Amino acid sequence: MSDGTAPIRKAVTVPLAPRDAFDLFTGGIDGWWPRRSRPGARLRLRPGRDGHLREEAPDDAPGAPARVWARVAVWEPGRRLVLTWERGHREGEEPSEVEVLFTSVEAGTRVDLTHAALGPLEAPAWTAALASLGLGARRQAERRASTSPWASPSWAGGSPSRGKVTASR
Amino acid sequence: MTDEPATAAMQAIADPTRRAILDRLRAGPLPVCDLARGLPVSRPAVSQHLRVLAQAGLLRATPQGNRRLYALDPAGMEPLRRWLDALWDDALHQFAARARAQERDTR
Repeated sequence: MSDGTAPIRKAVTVPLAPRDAFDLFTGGIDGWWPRRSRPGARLRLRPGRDGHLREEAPDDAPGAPARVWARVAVWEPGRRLVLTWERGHREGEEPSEVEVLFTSVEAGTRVDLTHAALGPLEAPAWTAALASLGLGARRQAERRASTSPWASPSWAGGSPSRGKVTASR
Repeated sequence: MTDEPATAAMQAIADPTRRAILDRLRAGPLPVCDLARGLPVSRPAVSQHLRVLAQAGLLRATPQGNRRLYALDPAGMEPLRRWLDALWDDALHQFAARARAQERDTR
């Protein structure tokens, strides 16, 4: 059994130019990110260095502090994006880092994603990713089980097909 | 998400005190008295947190004399890792589907 210290690596090739793939990955994230932590919430990635990824919901109080999921650490349009996942992050806890590389290939763009800092000794580093992704997914599962209008949200997608995504270890 | 071990582990580490406990164990195994020192909760509360972490598979207790030593269990993070691995598969699958739709639309 793996000890879990290796980063998670994924790769996918899409039929877009690198700049278009980058723009879809960042500006279009609300259209493809498969989960939300709250019903009706939308994801916004504010571009550029010092940008951030945040979730906005209709029931947010006006002027309420934004729910920031991640900060942009590297912003190189068409080439490279690094997000530090720090929601729930406390002082002394290492944020979890996601790096995405966009490489021009004949078929379009190869997107390589690395989610680092996942070792068993880095348990606190999981905080951020899991606070937003994990706990959100659990609530979503509860909603699915209910008969609420959110039972089958369009963004939930079907069962994940792994056909197009390859693990690139 | 029906991955029960991952859910248990997520719930376990959602609590800041339990994360603080895990953080202290990074340096090596400790007995409960050392773990409780400096934490803003009572020792019975620490014991309760240790039980939750152990049930989630994130740590092990080893008897040593008349006390128990607590240590991180590296295997305990594996369900979380698998869960996150599947989440990225799902996310990139959706991303690729969007990209193909966009490419069709602009053709």
